[in-house]
Amino acid sequence: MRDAKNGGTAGFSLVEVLTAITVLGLMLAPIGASLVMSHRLNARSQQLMEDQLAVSNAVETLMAEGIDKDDIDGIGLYQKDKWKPVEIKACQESVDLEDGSKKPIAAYQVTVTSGDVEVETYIRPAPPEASEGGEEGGDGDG
Amino acid sequence: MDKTRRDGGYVLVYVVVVIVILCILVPAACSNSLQNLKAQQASVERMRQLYTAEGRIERFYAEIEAAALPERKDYPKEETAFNGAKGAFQEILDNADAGLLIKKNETWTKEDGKTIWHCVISAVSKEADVIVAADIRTDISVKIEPYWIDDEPNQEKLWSYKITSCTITYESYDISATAGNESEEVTP
Repeated sequence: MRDAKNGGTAGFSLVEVLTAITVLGLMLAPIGASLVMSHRLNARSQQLMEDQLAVSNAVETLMAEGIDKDDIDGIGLYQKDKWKPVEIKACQESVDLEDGSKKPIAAYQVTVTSGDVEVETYIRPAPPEASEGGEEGGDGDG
Repeated sequence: MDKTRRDGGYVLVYVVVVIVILCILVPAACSNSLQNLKAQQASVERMRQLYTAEGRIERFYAEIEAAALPERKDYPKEETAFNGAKGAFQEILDNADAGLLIKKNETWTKEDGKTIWHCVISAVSKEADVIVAADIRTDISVKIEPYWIDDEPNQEKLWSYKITSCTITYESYDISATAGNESEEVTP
């Protein structure tokens, strides 16, 4: 016999619900892990971008100002407190000459680090502070 | 009478539909995040290449500036003192970083007893896909004069060169990037 009506009293059986929950649980676990991984990737990308901006800002400023050798501390850190959390190391390399002596390179080798972003480059020394007229940098008669 | 439910079992259908939708959206989100991270890493690498290339130019510029600081040299003849001055700066170009391509356009003139060196040095620094090209103009006034040992005219006469003024400027500074697969022959 057919039921004439099968209306509002219809529902899910317990077996159906348990099966549905089990299937959902098994599938949502890896999906949830993927969502967590996606979130971590976004956070990593964001951190990388911030570090890149900090390093780029530091390098551009140093290239414009030059390196002042008086601001290099004993372990090679440059203006440690000014650039936190960016770390700047500066050193002056030397090249070996034919006669066995060493000649310092005019530019400083600078390493700028922020997080996982590290850049190595060369930066000129800072120009000497304006002083009484010297022979360099001006047009003048000898 | 038992009610037979001909429409039973749809809960699993709903569950499967939801799972399918999630399986489409979540990998798309993961893929997007991964693409963002790769793009960011490529950007960092490009920045590193740029500053490495620029660093070579800066180092070269600093070497020219440093050489402009005078150091007296003693030569037996005026001509050799003149050649000594030229040689000092040519040595800088010869010892430039191997990653630099250098070409110079120079003129030496004598004005009012001084030798003026006008030189435009075209330097190109290439690091992977990044190319930095700079024209460095150098105007150096070199005074070549005789002097006598112990200021005694009877002593040996020697010649020395001395830099009396030096102006070094960038005439142009261009930064460009090649596509990854192009192998481009770069000349200054």
